[in-house]
Amino acid sequence: MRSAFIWIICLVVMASFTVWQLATDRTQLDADFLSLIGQEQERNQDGISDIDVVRALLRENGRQAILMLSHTDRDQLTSLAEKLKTEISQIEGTENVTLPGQNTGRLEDVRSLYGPYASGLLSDNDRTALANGQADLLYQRTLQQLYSPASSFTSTTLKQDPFLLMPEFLTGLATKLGPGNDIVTKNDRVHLPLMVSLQSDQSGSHAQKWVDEINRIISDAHRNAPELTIVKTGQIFFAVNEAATAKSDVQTIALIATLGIAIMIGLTFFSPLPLIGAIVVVGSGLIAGATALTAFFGTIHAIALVFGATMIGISIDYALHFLVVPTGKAGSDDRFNAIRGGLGLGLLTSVIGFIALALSPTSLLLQIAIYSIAGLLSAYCSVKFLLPLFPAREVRTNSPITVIHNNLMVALSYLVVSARLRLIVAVLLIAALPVTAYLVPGHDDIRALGQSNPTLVSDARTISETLGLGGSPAFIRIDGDNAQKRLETSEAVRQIISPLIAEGKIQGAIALSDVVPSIARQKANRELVRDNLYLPFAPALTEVLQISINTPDLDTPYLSPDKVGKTLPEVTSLQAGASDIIRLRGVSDGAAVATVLEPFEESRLISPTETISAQFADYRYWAYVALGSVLLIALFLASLRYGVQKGIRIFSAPAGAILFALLGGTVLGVSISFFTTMAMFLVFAIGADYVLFLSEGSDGEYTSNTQLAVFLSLISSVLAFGLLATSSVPLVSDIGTVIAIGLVGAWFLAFWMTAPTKFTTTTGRAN
Amino acid sequence: MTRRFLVLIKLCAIVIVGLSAGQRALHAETAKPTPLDENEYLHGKFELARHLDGFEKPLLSRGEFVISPQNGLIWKTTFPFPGITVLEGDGIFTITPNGDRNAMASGSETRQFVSMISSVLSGNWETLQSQFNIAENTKKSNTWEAILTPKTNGAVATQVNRIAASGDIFVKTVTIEKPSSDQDVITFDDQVVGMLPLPPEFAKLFTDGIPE
Repeated sequence: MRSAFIWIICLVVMASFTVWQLATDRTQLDADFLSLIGQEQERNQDGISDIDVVRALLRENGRQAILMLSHTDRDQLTSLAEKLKTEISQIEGTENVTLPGQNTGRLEDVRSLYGPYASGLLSDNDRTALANGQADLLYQRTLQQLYSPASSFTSTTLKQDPFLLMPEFLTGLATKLGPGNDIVTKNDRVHLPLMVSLQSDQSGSHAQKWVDEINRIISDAHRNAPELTIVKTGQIFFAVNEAATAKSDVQTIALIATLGIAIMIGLTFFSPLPLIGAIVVVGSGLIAGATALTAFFGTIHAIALVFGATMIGISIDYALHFLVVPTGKAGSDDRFNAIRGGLGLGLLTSVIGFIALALSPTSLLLQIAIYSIAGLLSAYCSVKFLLPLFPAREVRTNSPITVIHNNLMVALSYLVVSARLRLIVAVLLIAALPVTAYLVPGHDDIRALGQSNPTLVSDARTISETLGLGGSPAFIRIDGDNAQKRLETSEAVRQIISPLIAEGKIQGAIALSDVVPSIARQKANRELVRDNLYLPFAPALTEVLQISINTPDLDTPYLSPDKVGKTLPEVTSLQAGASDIIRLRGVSDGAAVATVLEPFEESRLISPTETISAQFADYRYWAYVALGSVLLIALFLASLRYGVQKGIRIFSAPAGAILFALLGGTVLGVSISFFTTMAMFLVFAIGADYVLFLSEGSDGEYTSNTQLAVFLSLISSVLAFGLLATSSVPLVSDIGTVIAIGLVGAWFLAFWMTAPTKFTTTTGRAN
Repeated sequence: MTRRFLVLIKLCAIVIVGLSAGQRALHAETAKPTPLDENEYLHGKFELARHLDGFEKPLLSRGEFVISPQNGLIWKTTFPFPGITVLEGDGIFTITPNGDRNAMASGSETRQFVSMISSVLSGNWETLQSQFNIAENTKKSNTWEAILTPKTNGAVATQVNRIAASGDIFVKTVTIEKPSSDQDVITFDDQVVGMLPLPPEFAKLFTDGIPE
């Protein structure tokens, strides 16, 4: 009683601590998919990993939403766009909204930035023309622009750049930046992009509210102007949609599973008390898991929380194992003592498994492991200290569950063969597991995990095809000892990918070296301009302008990246740590890009989806290593306790369950990913519990109760996890399928490997 | 006297552009430019004096222009160097003597600029009201003046400080003052309104008007 009181106090303290940590934001709950993955990666020589770069890039992209407005009348379209802009600007979470043609004010700043360096800034076409001896064409163009009503030069820029080279450089730069923010007419309709920048904290409920508001504004706009069509794209729309689908699926499944478990326990005991006891045990596990995470980590990742909570779900087995034990003559202590061995060994095996998981160099797995270890220890304590306080309720021998179980046991007893034969099967199962794990291919492509809304996918494609905006981002990472080396590499890479751009394999690219040419390039440009343009044509131009023209000086300062940041803050998206980034648009042939980059040791193509998928493949690898390690430890422990032969048989139950899950999942088309591998961990933990409970309880008077407890555990687990297999979200469905197959296999093997050759049921019928 | 002058104008207009110009001549009585109809174009001569801050002499050029609401603006410089600039919805182009089109600018911002300059040249103030504060002053001598000041925080304000225009039934002078202290003074002469289609030598200069 005293222990129970202390334990209750501990639970209250833990719950209060967790609530306090979360309520005061001392611990953040991070639902951002990218925030924790890859944090533990070994740092590259320049201090930043690919996944960090991808994270920064996607986070920036994630703050942008694009709406494409289409109408038959251009003036009406622009007017409607202005109205929408005002409405969207007022939504909480919107940072700013940009319409085409609203960046004019920046031209002066850009001219001021580039003006002093104009003679070193050449467009690709001008450089080619000068190199090919066509300077006369450039001079003719200068004269024409001097008298054109549409020229953009000023007296200041003309003095700095008398041959008007800078406007051409800026035009070339704009072309490299892409069609972007412009109105397009296609198929007799005018299409206008409305670019929305979001505040940085748009996730979870904030994101949901923002998307709801946008959808409301779009339907209002369409109602008021039926000719207007609006399509939209942006990570926020996909994220909100997928989260809503997954949430809806899981909520429905959780409701059905909870009801099913409640009915199952009710039908077994004809009393609600065991159900309450089970809830207390699982609840205490959740509290302790959350407390451990809030105590050790400043930020808890949502994936860790979900998986950790799922793992703690196995603690319902502990509760059931206790609840089915008859009251006995000596009271509640006897009940716990009857299961102490099995429960203790089950806990030990699971804890060892999760410790193995924690040793992997990934913070995500560490969080899952700590959550699970703390949760299972807490559940064990609750079974020991709290469940004995509940008034005991006996299993009703005439309950439907008991009747079904007894009949099933009788049927299965016919399958029990000699211990030697079972040993051979056990050895075969154990040997087959690593071979199968090696042969079954992993599929870690994150695109296959979610289920994107077809309308959103179609909208994204329409926007990409019409405006050249959105789509999957890809980039080339340029490393190098210093900024100038990277710029030079970038210029060389740009040159090598230009045929791919011309062939349409890449729609476009923008690099830091486009905005700030390397000093070597600027110097070469100045020489070219001086020798081929100024020397032959400056006298004639002086006549026209009536001012003296200074020949470019190679020794005057050059433009460097640190000078552009204030005027062009966008260049930050072209840098990541000490690497430069060439951002690519519309890459349709990644292999071709990777091939042309091969000669460049310090540059490589990075696809965010592939990088993240590779990261999860890495996690899967570590999950496999942890799983393998824990299986070996379990084999060792089982051999110690039961002897080698029985130990192998006992151990083969969880190992065989994983094998069944792997094979069954593969046959049913389940992708073996990091997430399904984590599900195997659960199969191992539950399978080990089953076989240890049965093994420890097979010789005593509670054998049939233990078998019933394991059967109840199976039903509860299959209800909880098996129903996940019906989810429309591939990730959820995959996890559910693997666990359901694995648990049924674990239950059968646990029974089969531990059953005595002469099997007897509670009804006294002998095998 | 004034009435006789207007009658003369009316007669001239009828002679030059035919019956279609009758309506325009009628507006001559109010001494204000009438926006061009969709099926009309305006042709005339110009002199552009580009005063650049710190330059002793203005850059002076002369030539002829054609403006058509359907197509855009052609700016054909004949002095001191031959050159053609075409401003149309798709962008701004220069056309070399051998017919090559070189894009100077394109996009929505260019379209705004083309729209603005076309509106000023054709005296179509209505389309400029969203971007400018417009003050008009009609004089007794059947001429007028208009001062266009960009609205604060508008995109145009970064490009133009003030536009002053004056004229009679046509825009005669336009002065564009820029934030850089530069100033373009354009004077127009010999303006006539014609009915589309454009004469072939001009039509071919527009993107969709190049003869096969």
